[in-house]
Amino acid sequence: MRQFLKSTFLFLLPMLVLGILAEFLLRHIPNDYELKSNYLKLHTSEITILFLGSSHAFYGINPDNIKEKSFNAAYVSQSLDLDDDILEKYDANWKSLKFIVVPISYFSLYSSLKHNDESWRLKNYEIYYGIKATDDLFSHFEIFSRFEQNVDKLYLYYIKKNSLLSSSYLGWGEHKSVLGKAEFLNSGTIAAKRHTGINEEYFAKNKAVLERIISFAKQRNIQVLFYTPPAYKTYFENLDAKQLNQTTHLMIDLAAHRNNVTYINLLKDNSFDISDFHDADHLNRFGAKKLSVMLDGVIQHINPPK
Amino acid sequence: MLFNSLSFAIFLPIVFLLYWFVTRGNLKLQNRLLLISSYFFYGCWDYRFLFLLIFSTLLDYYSGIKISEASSKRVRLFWLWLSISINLGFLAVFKYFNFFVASFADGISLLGFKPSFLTLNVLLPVGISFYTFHGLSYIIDIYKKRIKEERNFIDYSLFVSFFPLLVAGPIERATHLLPQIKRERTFDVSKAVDGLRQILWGLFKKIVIADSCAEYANMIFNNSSEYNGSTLILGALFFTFQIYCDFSGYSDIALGTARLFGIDLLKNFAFPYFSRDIAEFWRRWHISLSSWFRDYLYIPLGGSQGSIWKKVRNTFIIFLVSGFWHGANWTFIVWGLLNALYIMPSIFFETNRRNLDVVAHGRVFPNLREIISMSVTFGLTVIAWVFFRAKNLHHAFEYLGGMFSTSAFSEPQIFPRTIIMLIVMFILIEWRGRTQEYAIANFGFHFPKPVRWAFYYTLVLAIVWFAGEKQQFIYFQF
Repeated sequence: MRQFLKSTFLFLLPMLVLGILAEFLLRHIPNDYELKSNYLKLHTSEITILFLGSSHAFYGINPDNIKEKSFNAAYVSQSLDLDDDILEKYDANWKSLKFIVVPISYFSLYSSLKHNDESWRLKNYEIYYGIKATDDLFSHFEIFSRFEQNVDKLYLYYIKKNSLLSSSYLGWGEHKSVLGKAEFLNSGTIAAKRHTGINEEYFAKNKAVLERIISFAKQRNIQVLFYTPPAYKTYFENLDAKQLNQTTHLMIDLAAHRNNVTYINLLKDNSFDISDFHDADHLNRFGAKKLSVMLDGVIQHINPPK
Repeated sequence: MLFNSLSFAIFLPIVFLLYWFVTRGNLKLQNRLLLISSYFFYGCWDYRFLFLLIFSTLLDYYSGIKISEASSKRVRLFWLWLSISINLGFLAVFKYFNFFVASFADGISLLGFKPSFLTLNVLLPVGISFYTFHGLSYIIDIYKKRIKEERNFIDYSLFVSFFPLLVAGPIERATHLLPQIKRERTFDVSKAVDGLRQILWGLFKKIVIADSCAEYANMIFNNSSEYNGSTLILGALFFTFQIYCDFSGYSDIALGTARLFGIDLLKNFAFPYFSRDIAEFWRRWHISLSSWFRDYLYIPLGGSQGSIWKKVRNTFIIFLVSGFWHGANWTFIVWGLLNALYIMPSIFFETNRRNLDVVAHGRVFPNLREIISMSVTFGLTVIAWVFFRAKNLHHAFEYLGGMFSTSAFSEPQIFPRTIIMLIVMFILIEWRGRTQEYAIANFGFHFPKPVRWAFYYTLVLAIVWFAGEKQQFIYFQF
């Protein structure tokens, strides 16, 4: 028995050592989650306008174009429950916060990061934000993420000396590449298909999350601005009417019955044309500037500076 | 708790260390520890189903005692049928109720009625088909006086719930497993090392081959109307390797895990894709289920005794039931019937026990006749798997129509070279090890330790490299 345990331990030892080393190295690669979390830790009390949401907001809102002090805490695949978790996490320090701005995309009410293909991202909320995003013990470690992706990260950062950050200091994300025309046009159909799927359970849960965000804001005298972000026609023409209607009806209803809530639907807004999009459902830097200025205008209109 | 999860990677060493160190060879303690661990393992799926498992265990335990104590045949029959009906009743409710209701509703809607029936919104308890069959074989064996009843409840419960086989088999027999549970078990280094090696091979099959194939099989089957014939053929091939590596990988992990505790489980797969006819395929595929049906259904029906038409009838019955066992869907039933059709030539020409040995035994390469017979058998199996994988019968026929269209000769729209290379390499390793218990059972025994370890590290690296989102084992749904 002793011999068996010794051999097994010796066999596993190199993997254990490599695993610990890889975890250490991976955690020391500067990343967007860490950057955002660090910013929030230091500046929560100064933020007046907080942008939350998924990639539609991460790439679509540049706080540099907002007049008041704002921060974009949105990120790729960040679902409403995590937006709520971020708000709660820094609850004690939202001293200047006047506006919470949340995108309600076509899929927002029917998805949760905890239950989709991107759930591997949950570990980042555990590790860098300190948010309890999952019960899975292994989501507290970088090395249990996709191996291939980890190898890529180690190679790019430590060997190629590339930065893996895609977020600006104020949390805005800029795409690093440009799509070809065919890829751009196809992206609408593909994304629409990926985002379609009515799940009443998620709808009910996300509706409850929205209620929580609204009451959180109400208790602190904060306004909530929900918006449906703009998309290119190849995306919105392929959406399921029932899913879209259910989303907009709920948002209109919430805005009508809650005095601290505003909702605007920019999905088919004419101000955005093909030159504003990175792909059919994400804005590029020009589109981001346009949307940021537009939302800033709405915010100023709702709550003009004194 | 999946076998390919990190939770299991923690659970297993803890149970292993407690089992060999804390119990200090005390059989009673060992069995109690294994039973508690098995219930914990099962409870991790959904603790509510534990009650069903315990109820089923109690029922069969008690029925077994009652059957053996009964003085008249009538009482023995009563307890036998009580146990069978309740066990199958659970299966019927959890697994087949909605299917029967929907099929009945479909049937009478053809007559112009618009029925609205109650359907149940219930989850299928994990492993119910497997542990039900464990229990049934035990009860039937007692009734047939092949075995004595087990009076130790812990030992009997462990026979039903031993965690390596609990959720997807192999379907054990009391005659094989119970004596091992009752026998003192001492640590055997070579057995434990062999167990670890088999677990490693099982993980490789599941994570590297099955899950990689699953990605493409799912993509192609889910969007089959968008692909040409050659891509559909590739999709069917991917599923063929997915299901084999998924299920036999699971069985390897189960067998290897059990061996770590000094217990040998029944072999479930014996390189089925190297079969030379369908009868041989069914002697090599899901062996524990095939032999279950043979012993408890085929032989009681008369088996291969009697007229040729009786044999045909019996064969169709067991394949029909086998298809239905897999799931409440017409696709499984047609899959079963198709396999029955495939096996008919062997029945008519009485050649079903022709290929009992290992193909090309003692030779490196098969001869031309063997290559042709293996290819034909494999091709027939691939066609049958289309029914197994399809959403419904319409989808299956549409898929097969695409496979056999002229576009089968055009270039595939998807051609993942890495996965195809992996499959080829996997087939070569399987071919090399086809006489063994599992493909790498004696791989590299003559090599120096560093070379052997380098091979194992390569497998580990491949497993880690390919490990993505954990995929459920296909057979868990049955």
